Amino acid sequence: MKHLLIIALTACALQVAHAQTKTTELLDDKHEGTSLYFYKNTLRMLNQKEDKEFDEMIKDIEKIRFLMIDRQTENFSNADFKKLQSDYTKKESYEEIMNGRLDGRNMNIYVRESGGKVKGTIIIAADSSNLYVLDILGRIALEKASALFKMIDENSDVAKKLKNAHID
Amino acid sequence: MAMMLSSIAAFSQGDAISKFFTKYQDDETFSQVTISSKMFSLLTDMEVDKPEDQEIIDAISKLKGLRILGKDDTRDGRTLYKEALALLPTKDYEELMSVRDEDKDMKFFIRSGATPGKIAELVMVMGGADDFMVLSLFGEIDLKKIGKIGSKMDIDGLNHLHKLDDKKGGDKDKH
Repeated sequence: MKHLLIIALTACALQVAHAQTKTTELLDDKHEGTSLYFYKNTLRMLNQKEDKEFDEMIKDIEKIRFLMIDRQTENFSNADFKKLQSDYTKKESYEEIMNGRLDGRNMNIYVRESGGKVKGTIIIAADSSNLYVLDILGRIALEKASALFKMIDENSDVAKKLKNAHID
Repeated sequence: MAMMLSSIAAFSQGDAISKFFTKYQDDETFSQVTISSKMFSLLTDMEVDKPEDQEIIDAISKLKGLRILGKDDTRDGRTLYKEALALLPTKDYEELMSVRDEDKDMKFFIRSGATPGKIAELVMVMGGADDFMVLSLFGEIDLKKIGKIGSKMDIDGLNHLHKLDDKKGGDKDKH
């Protein structure tokens, strides 16, 4: 019975490992930083104020891998950032659908499709201090992407919500 | 930044003021947003309840790209506005409307498409006492729906497109 449990847990762990991109996994392995997983139910729990826009944004998300890396302490250069962007499109078959810069912070959104449906979404935000990566299994409601952009860009609310929820 | 440059090159078919974007896209005092045709096509997956919303979705599906370049809290708003206007090739673009809204001047231009009656590109240039923005939307554009597209996509800058709807009501000054 104990062996069965271990096998089951191992299978779950493998499933989790395969659910994120290799690029994100390598990034996480290489750099120290905040690294969190969030599942659909966890995301729903974040929305304690019952913000309909947030609900709409997360409705098609199965899981999120969130990374936050301090660029100074981890010596994460602009060249590293360019390589990260390139790896998602060239090694992982993601396609860039949006990029932007606001107040010195860059943001890119990539999607991966299969059978005409979005199966994965990557959102990268970076400024001179930090790098944020949201590796999403599923899709965000793209019509709300700009709201997510604002949330990350103006006050990092997403990061705070994710981090606080993890601590709670 | 190389990624951004390649993206912009890919999205820039026929858009108006590439020189202006190229000049300032690396300047971090400017904000910029670039959206590809893929994003517009994905937006068509939105669930809608009302038939009029479906019309907006159909209009969005025909868009091929959007670029916005802007600068806030700047004294150069009016200078940049003049510079952007000077770079617009007047033989290709027809001025659609000018608006003065408080301390801001806005001009809207269109470029006709290959299909008669269709617009291939809409350009908006805005300059004020302390801000500046240029927006280029390209693809197959339905001017009647442009204001609603702007509000549906909830992107800073596109909100100014409702001025085109206002024009139909004739409640704006023409300069």
